Amino acid sequence: MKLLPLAVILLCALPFARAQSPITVTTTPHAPSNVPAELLEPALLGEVTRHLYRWYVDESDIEKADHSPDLILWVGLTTPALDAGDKSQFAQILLPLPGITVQLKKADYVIEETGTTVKSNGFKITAVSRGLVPASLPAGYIELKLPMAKLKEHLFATRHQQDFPSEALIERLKVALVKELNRQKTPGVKNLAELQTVYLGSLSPLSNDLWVYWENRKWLVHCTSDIDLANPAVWSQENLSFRRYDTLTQVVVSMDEAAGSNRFMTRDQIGRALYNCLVLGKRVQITPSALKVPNSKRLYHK
Amino acid sequence: MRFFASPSAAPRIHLRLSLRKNRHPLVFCGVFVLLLLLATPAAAQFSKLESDTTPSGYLATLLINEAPFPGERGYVSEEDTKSAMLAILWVLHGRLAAVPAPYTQWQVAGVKTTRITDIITGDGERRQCEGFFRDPSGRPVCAPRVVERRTYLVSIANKGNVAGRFSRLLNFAQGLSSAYVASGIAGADRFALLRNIGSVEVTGGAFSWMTDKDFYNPGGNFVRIPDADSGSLGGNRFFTLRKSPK
Repeated sequence: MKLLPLAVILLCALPFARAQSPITVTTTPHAPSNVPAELLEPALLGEVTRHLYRWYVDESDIEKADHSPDLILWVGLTTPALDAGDKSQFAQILLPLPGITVQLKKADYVIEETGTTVKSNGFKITAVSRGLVPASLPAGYIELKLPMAKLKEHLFATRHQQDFPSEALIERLKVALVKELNRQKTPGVKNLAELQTVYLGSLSPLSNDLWVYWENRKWLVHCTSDIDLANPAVWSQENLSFRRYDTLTQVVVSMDEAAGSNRFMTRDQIGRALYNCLVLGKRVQITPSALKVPNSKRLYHK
Repeated sequence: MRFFASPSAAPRIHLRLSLRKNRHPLVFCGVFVLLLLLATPAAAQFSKLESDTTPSGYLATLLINEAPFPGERGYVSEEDTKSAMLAILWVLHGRLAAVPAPYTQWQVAGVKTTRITDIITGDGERRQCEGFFRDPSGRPVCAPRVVERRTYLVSIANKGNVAGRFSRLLNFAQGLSSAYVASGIAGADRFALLRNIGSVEVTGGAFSWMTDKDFYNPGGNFVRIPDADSGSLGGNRFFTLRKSPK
């Protein structure tokens, strides 16, 4: 019986196992570097580009890419000062052509107060930003080339690939959402017995982000953690941050309409998240009264 | 005598008599509990935040809410989270008391005020910091989820026998907030000397922050501070202003 939780965890992790990537990578001769081999794996780089394609890239980026035979990636480690005993690794993948910087982290530390081990099974994307990529290959970085034609073929073929959360993760998420529903006893929620419909966004194996569209409330909920979402510790401790956006009131066409505020998303951003939840995602129905929600499993918004 | 005529008086007297009758066992129990309490070390209190109904407690709650703690997305290190808190305080201070010409406070902060709580709550639907707003009576309040997270973090900080990262971070936020409310900003502004970002001339100083994702952008004349200038702290991206407004 003790092996059962382990088996559940392994089953949860199965959908995240990386498939053989059809992308080939050419490494430009370079000076010795400390970049870990796993950051140079075609499968990982393929997932990075797929994540960007799904969540960030626009028409103009694709049009720009048409003129280049290869997508150039510069991969390197970054070395922020860490807490004592923290063995986490941080890396950057720079895409000079579209001017995109991808930050990655492989967490490996312990939260002393709760005894939780935060250990990631690989590098995860923590941030993506645009602009100001250096003009030349930074020292210690490795240049990689992905053949553009093959890459575009791969992205086209996988553009509607659905990466659903595992059943175990869905069950945990249901509990979390019911807790949230209990917290939000606002005029929109009259009856906890009422059937709730949520759409879980397609999951990237390289990111601890999960977008959820809550149809009854017309809310988009963004769940993030430093711990892999498949790890039960995320759900048993208070390590999952929720941020919600009311798609009726927290949406603007341009951020100029509410400059300086951090509570809005643009209609384009909402549209992309909704596409990933409603079209590529999974529909889940919950009857809150049918679920036993332990009091200890509180979750909070950030 | 009228007192004893009260209908509830009889049972009360009876109870008092019973207590007197069994005085010895009760005294024994009391002494035992007292000894037990003395022998058990009191629960440690490494962190205590001021009430969020006070300006410094409200400000501390914002700093805590916007910066990542261990286990949360964006966490890098204790120092990084402290730097993020300080940078957020500088944004608020910039909006309150250091708006650069030719901008007006209204353009940058969405309000015209001399109070830090107004900078945090903003004005109506265009309020600035998610989860911080005024209730119908005009009091600055936090969303329940913000209060819950604050309570949770304090409970974690006060676990165990030694002060750890959680308590140090909470104490830093409260100390910073109390010092600011009492005697103005202290510490260096890491963004003050910024003059150019790429080819764009900027005012220096930070005036906005957002979760560090490409699709979060504050719009208007805000300019993203790049990594090379430490523009990403504690999972947040900081923004300065164009020198010449669009």
